[in-house]
Amino acid sequence: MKRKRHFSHSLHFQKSHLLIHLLFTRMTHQFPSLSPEQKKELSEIAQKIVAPGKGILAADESTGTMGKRLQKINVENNEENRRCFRDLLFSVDPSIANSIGGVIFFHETLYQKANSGKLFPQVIKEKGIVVGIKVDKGTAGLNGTDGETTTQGLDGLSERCAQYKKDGCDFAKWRCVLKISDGCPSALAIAENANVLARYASICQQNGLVPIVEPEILPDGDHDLQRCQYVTEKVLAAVYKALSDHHVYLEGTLLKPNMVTAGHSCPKKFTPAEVAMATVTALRRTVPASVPGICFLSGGQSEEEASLNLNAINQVPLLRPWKLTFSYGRALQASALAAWQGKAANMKAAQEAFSTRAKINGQASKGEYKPSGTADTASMKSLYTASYVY
Amino acid sequence: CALCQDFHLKMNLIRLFLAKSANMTHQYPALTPEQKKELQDIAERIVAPGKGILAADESTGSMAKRLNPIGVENTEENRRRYRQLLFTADERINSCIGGVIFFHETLYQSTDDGVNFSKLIKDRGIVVGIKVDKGVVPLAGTNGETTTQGLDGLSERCAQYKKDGADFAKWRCVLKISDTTPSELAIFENANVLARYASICQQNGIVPIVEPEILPDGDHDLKRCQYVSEKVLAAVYKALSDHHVYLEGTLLKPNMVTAGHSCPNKYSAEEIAMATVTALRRTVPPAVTGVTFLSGGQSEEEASVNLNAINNCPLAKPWALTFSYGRALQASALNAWKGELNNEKAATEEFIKRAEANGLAAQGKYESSGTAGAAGQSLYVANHAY
Repeated sequence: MKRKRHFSHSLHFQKSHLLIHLLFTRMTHQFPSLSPEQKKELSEIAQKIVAPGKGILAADESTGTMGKRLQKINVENNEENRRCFRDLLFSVDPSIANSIGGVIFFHETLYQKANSGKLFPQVIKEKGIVVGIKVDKGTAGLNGTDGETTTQGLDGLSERCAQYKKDGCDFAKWRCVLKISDGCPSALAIAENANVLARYASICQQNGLVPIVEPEILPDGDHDLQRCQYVTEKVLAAVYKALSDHHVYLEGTLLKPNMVTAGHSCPKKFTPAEVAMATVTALRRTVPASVPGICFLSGGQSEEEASLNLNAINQVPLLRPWKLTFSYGRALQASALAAWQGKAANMKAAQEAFSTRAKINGQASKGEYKPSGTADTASMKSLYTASYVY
Repeated sequence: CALCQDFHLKMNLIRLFLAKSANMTHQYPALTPEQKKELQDIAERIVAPGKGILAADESTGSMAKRLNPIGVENTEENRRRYRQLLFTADERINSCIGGVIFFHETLYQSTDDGVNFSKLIKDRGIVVGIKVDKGVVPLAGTNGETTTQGLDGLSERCAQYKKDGADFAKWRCVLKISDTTPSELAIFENANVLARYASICQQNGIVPIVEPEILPDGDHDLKRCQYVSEKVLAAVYKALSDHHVYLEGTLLKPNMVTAGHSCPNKYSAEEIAMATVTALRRTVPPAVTGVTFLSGGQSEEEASVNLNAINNCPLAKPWALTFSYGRALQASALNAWKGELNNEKAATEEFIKRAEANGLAAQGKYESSGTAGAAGQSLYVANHAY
């Protein structure tokens, strides 16, 4: 009897010894950056933003950019007018939440109030929409390049993110910019912007914010669709390598890329089906399936163009493992601005215009947008160009 | 009118041509549309639903390790006789074997009736592949890490293999997990050499199978293997992008994510499946046509059960997930054969059994019948290299 007890006791001792040995000498994986709970939270936020039929309202125009918008409708660019316009957008009918999963704020707007006296983030949250915040501080020149840039804003970013989280934000946005020309984008521009996006993403996640990663390739230039596709593939490959190197949790991120289009001055015009095929092909070659959603920027596209292209993207007959939706600024607000003209009497009409675009883009994010007077799905399919191999 | 339309079309074409000469459409396209189509078709055929790969590319040295345990002399004739009993299996394997990887010697051997093996396989609608690497070599200044050689004259070799019936190739790189490995150099160098190999293959109409094997040696747990697998695969796909490799015309042959062989923790097939699929979802672009797992040191049954669990993993899996098994398809066949003519039929039957089991596993439809017999014995050999 004594011997048995001794044997089981020593086995137990051996096990504990082994466990301690394991703890101190073998890392399970090196220095996990997020706990399982943190990962779960991030993943759930991202899923909520890109829930089926939903996309993002990018209402994060900086003060300077809002100036350009308001100037067009002869409205003075002051704090109250900016507040007024955002109030117009944010206080539409709660059914807007069927099409809008997230709103991106500019810093100033996060601390402004609706006419009702409620803080804007609260208004948005009460509709079941996730609140986001633009956190970059604009582009800065890359010396020795042909006018290329990186983006600044990393200083004190962690503290800022922690504060934004307290103030109601659950996601953030950071925009990098690249351009296509004979010599651009350079290897440095690609590497530097990918790296700064990854640093930003890493810091956000540490503070419970889902980072939207935006590597915008401008549509300026006369390059064709193929060139844009090629450059987009190179840029996105670099972005995802950087995110891997910086240990970013992909399931808790979103991507905000340009669609693949020809340059604005390209003599050849391409159909939405061609744009869609080139876009989806580029994404399939670079964006891992674990990324929950891709929310396109609208760039210089008109409201209708942006909707038609998004719709075509969601009809491409290739397997698309991520949500493909919108994160539109101008393409959601242009008509609303034009209807508003800065006059209170026009508020309803302006809200109507905004709600209409939101609804249309919600449909487009499911490939279900049927613009009146255009061909049905079946004949859309025939527009995929057989000769163009992507 | 039709004449005007024709004129406009021609003007557009001229404009496009001029545009192309002034601005690069994309820099120096590596492949024509026809080449791309051919590569993608080949890849899709290999990993068609329910199909996987028989890795019969054991080098002469590796074959010694297979034949010695069953008391068979490692001669050219014995190697020929052994591969024959695999390649002459009946039509049952046509629905579960999409491709066979050959060793160079075997590509030029024939059946008893004088039918060339490559032709035999190709004629039954199975794609012929060829191992093209020339083995591992040490990376000086590392903790016993390696890269893989074989790039010299690879283009000419690929062109010849294509003429001789091969439509895909395989190249194996090896990494290992320890406190200090894999090092950044090992990850980068192996990813780069895999990308060079892949690029050269595609130029010659050959689909490259990219194999960055992380050995199961060690006592690391499942999480550590997953972490390392993710880093390695991220580097591999960055290198493939840098080298302008056409992903739709490639296949990936990775390790499953498993704990090290000396890890005290044991993991279920579902845990292995989840870790594996998660790692792949984070690194392998959806454009990759298929993922064909190596079996490493797993037993035949383990390899089938794990593949089955992988295909039942409840996460979106945008690529085919199937097998490229050597030992896990052949262990029982070898044991049944023991070099005897009389045992050939029985040996072939054992192979067909595993082929069908894995064909089902590739669809998530395999029902394990227990782990008894040769099928259950672990085929792990320490620090495996061939």
